Amino acid sequence: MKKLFTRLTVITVLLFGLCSFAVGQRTITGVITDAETNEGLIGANVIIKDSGTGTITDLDGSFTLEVPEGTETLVISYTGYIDQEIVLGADNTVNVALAPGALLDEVVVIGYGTQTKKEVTGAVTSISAKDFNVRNITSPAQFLQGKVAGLTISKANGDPNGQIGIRLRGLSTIGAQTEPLYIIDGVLGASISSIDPADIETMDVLKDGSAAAIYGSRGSSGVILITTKKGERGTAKVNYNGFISTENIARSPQIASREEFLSAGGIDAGGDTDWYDAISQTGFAQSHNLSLSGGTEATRYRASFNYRENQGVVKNTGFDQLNGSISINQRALDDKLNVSLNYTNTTRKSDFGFSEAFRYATVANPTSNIFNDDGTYNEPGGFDNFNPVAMVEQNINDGERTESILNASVSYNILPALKITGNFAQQNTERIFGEYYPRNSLYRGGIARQGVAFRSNENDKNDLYEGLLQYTGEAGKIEYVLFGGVSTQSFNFLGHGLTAGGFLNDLNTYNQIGTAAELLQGLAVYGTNASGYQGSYNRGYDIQAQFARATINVDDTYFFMASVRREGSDLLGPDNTYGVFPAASAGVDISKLANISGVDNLKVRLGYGQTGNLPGIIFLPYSIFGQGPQFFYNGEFVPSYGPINNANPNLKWERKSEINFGVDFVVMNGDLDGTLDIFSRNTDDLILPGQVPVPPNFAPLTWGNIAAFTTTGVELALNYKAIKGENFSWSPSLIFTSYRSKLDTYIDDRPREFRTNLGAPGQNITDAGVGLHLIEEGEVLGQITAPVFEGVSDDGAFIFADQNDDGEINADDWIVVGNGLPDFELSLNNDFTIGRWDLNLFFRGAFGHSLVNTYRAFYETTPDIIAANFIQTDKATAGVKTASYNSTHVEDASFVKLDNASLGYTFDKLGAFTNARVYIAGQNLLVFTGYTGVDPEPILSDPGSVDNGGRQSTFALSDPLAPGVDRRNNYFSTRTITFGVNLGF
Amino acid sequence: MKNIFKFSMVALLSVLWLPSCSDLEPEFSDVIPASEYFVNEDAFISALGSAYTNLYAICNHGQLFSLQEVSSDEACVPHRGPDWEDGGQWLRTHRHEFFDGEGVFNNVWNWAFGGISACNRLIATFEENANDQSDAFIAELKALRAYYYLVLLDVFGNVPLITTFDVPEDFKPATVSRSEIYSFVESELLENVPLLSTAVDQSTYARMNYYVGQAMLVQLYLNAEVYNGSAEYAKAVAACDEIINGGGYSLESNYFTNFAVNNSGSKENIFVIPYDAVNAGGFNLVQMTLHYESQRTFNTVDQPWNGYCSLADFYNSFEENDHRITGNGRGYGVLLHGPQFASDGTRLVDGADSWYEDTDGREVNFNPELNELAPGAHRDGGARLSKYEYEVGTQNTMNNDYALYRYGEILLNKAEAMWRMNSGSMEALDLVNMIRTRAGVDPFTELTEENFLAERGRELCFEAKRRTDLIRFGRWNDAWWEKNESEAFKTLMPIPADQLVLNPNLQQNDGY
Repeated sequence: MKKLFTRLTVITVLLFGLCSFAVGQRTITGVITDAETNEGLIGANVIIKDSGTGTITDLDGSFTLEVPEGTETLVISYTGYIDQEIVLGADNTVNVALAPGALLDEVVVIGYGTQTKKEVTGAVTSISAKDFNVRNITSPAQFLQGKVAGLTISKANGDPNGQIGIRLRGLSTIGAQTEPLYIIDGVLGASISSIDPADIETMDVLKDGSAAAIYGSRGSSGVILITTKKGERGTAKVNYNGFISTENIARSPQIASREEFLSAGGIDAGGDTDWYDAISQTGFAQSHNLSLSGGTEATRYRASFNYRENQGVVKNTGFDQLNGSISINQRALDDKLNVSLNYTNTTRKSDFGFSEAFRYATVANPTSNIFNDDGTYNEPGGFDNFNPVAMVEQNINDGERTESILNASVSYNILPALKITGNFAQQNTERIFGEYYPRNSLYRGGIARQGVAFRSNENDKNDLYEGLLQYTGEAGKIEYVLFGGVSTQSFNFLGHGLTAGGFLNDLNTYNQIGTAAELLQGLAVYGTNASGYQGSYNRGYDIQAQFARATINVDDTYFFMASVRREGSDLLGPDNTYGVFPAASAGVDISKLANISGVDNLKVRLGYGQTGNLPGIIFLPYSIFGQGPQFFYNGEFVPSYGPINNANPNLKWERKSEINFGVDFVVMNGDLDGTLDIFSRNTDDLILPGQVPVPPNFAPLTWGNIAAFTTTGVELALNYKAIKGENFSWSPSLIFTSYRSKLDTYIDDRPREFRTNLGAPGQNITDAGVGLHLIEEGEVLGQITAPVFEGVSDDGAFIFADQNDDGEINADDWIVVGNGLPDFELSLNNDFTIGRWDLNLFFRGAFGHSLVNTYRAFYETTPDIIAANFIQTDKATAGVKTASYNSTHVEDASFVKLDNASLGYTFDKLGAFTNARVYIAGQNLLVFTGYTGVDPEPILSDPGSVDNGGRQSTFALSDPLAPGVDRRNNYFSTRTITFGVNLGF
Repeated sequence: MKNIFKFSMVALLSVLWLPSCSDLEPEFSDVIPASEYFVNEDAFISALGSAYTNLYAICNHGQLFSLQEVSSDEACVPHRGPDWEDGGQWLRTHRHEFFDGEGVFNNVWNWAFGGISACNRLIATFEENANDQSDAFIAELKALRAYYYLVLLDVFGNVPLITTFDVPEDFKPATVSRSEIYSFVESELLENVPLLSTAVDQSTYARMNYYVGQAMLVQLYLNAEVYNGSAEYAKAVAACDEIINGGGYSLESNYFTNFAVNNSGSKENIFVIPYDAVNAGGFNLVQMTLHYESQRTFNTVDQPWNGYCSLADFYNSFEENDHRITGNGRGYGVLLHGPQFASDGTRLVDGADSWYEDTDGREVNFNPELNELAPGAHRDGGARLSKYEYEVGTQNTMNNDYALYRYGEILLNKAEAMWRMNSGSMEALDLVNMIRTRAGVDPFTELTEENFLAERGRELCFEAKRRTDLIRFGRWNDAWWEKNESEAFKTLMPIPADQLVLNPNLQQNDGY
């Protein structure tokens, strides 16, 4: 608490120190609002007429502008609204309500440039800060949840350090990169965690192949372009946004209470422990964002300072994050030369903790005690069984990540219409991890090895060089932009790690690993063995590209775009290094050709484009010798070396071809607008590991281009201004997404394959030739299989349906019982304004998907003597003594959530502040679902099972062919309440 | 002037384009490409090693050891409540109800052919890059390859025969009959074993030497009737004699010396896998068989998995004072049974705080009379496989070297071959009685099929021999405990379903 107080004090001092900036002779203040909704307009231009100087409005539409004496007129403009000129009188307050104008004049970032919305011929969605999901988020991607048709975001429930899964238009690849390409202020492949969410101005999502093809090999999973906030000309401005929030577990597995446990025949160990309560805490988060920005005609700048702290709902989890960023833009030489420098740096210290604690808290006997009488942790032992409180309190699992992006861009207009640009960017990510299991910890060998320490460092770096040339021309009614460029990007990854045990005491944790007795005894050797990971790595790859694009606008009616990118990478076979990715699209504004009554605007678009994908592993085309276990030679162990892979010199690009048809419309005098997109795409030459015979191969798996699938889908976005009163307005918007992927061909001669293990104890089903998923040629992706429940035998075992009546239950009797991917997703956003109050209610749902409730599959049994706790739901089968996965454990997980609700109040004037707003927001407030597990959200890929204190393999990729497995290590879902303020000077 | 400036501006920006002209050659900064591997003498030795280290997988759960033991009458993996159901595969394996999709078949197939592939590759490499040692290495690799084929001959019978490394990319070799595999193994051994070192010391420890080659011939000839349809007992005796007369091997006075944590000095072990917790992992028996709570008995680093145990009939086949069951001073014999204690002497209790409990009580007692195989086997039921000494403080992978061929077995093999040629052979009886005498039990007065098979079981248990012995004695398909009589064709395991899909030229064994 003292720490928190100190931080707040520092921030407050900074805040007031900086606000003494603004001094002027005459200061005009005011608020620019939307005439229909009365909402403040962020970033509206307020310019002194004929002077070119001015400012932009803040988060709530407020502005402060110092004007020279004698200034007569201000020009207020905002993209998508009709400009207004205001003649200044004696009053220093100017409040202006702008009427919405041409929505289609909004600027959309399309990659290496911008277009107005009306010109766009691909499927592109632009979301600006005012539409973001404002709440306590851990990654900027969460801003977009439910806001972009076709974009699915699976968040890691309540885990503050969890990974966010993002899928655009479903699965576009299996073995390669499944996440979209992020481009931050033009920097390709940037890490989305390197910037602070508060610094984001807009996010543009390139959804279809025709839009994404300009990014070639990395556009297949979609492209998300992030534009950060920049300084605007005008007076220096200071803004502060902050919030605090609290978090609690919203849903957890339905386990028996102490009383239920005892009445079911459970053994009374004499204690009374709520294990969920014992491992958890009330989460707390705070965020403070301070920015200053401004500019003159020639120079613009913005700097920001962001602090975030997040303590998760599990004890000893959370992070502390500090971000600073600065951007400067200078024009010179009659505005011909333009130089931009951006630098951002983020440092996050994380306590990752142990999410396995949920699993062990679930089965812990509710009648046993956390501690023994002597104060030590009560460790009852048993396979796959640990005291979850000891797990989270005794052990350390933390790390620190520092990410920076340095970006310099110089452009020069050789001719007024011809611009040459050079870009350089370097991204650098350093990660440090540390784990320590003390001498009294049963978990992960602490007791057995007298303390175990792990330490590793990782450094990812990439350098990007780009040269661009752009010509803008006009010929009669034709406007066109020709553009070309070259790009080189080198990636490098290096790191090292050491694990060792045997410490005299626990004082130094992982900080003095050299004193480990195991090092002295020669017990820590290369590779991953019983002692843990030892090793180092340093490898990388390069990408080179040449690209060109032409965009043509004929009389604001017909729009064309064509692009091509040729790209090469050493990740591919020497004969297949380069690939060519073409695209073309066209649009026509029908409302310009024919006057349709009631229709303000109607545009149809058609696009085709190819994108690619690269393998996620380096050196696949080359035969590599690696060290294996030691070989006993002449009385001593020497290293053995052999091929570690089956080289595939023919490895080539994975290729995606996509056709997109779209309609954009505005009707009812601008009150209703919408976008409909229908797409179909083929992914060919999928990069996957396929089974091969041994010999001729060294290993049973080879990575190759071995499958193809087709995805079709439809996306609809509607925005409606339902009520537009002076004091009351309601604007609902609806987003609908539906897609299906079908496997056209799979690995040669292998039309059918089970995959996905359930795990220990007792359900290592893949060893028996079955799995949770069935991959079949000609069938949809995501099929979940199971033996079908028929009854329970006298001795308490499940009886399964014998599908083929052959008298045996085996792989032939496992049938498809669900699909891990939803049929469709729907979200409904509602913005209300009531006077100065604003209310947002955001509902989101997914329908038709199933989840394998692994908690139930393992822990639903009630044996003769009940000693471990069990899951109790109305879906349980009575009288079962032995756990055996079957169709009853696959549940429909359709849901509707009140994902976000916020209520805000904007002050007309509050002391010295030119704008001030306070709000309270709740997240994940209501869930309507029949699913009995933790969270009905679709789970897009599966990291596999981790049992008995084992570790997730860092090398295994999360399997996208295995959606819908709700693993026991998944974080519980949480509910968050946030209180925040926005202030501006 | 203005033009000069414009020119220099363009020139400056063009510099930024230049890096785009670099090549796209990968940089092998932390790996060794195959083309740059064989640069010194050490590289050849390390390369040879990769054909041997493949053997380390034998004793992993789900590999050859599991298949040979669980399908026999000396071990099973019961279904202990919620644990070890694992899709039912181990029940099916024990009851001979397996089908071709069981993971264990694919594991053993990939393991054996992985070894063969490594041998073929190295033979080709050493032929290409000849040096002083290459001829010796090649003979050794051919013998090792014969070992992998011997396992395939025993388990699957009819498999493809691949002897070269340089095969076309779409190579789909056809199945070759069991008898052809037999002939190949025989001719390879006869040709190469004489070239192997006859030294019995560190230089050949855990490697192919002349006597390991003879031991393979013993296995081949003793089972010739099963493998090839015609008995070769005289040849088996001759191969045994090569070892007995020339190898300098002898019976250890204490049976358990051969299975101790530090057993590399055993005068009896002929060919071993040199398991080592740090250098050569893979011997997981401690995890596979011991009870979760046994962690407190042996202070194991990881919690054991409480799986494998033995059958009551096997336990009961031992006489009370048989050293092999009493442990001969070691504290426990080949079967860990009865009440269990923690290392501090306190009684082991399953779930010290009652998180788990069986109907026979919480105290851990390895009762050799297991209540049932499935689904409600007691968590502490069944005697545990403890032939190999458990080191106090052991890692999950053990330090004991695992004997694949042992002098004691050679004596029994010689006895059996002689007995099969002449059931009244006194020499055969004497050889068996050498084994019995060491075990501290009375000598047999005669050899019968019944007592011979039982004696082999007691002596060779958990050495992955039992399945082969049962088949040779014609008892494999019999009913026992919770196993019904099985069809005769099940003496050969099915060709794995995955392999049939990958290679349409493979032929499934009869009956499957």
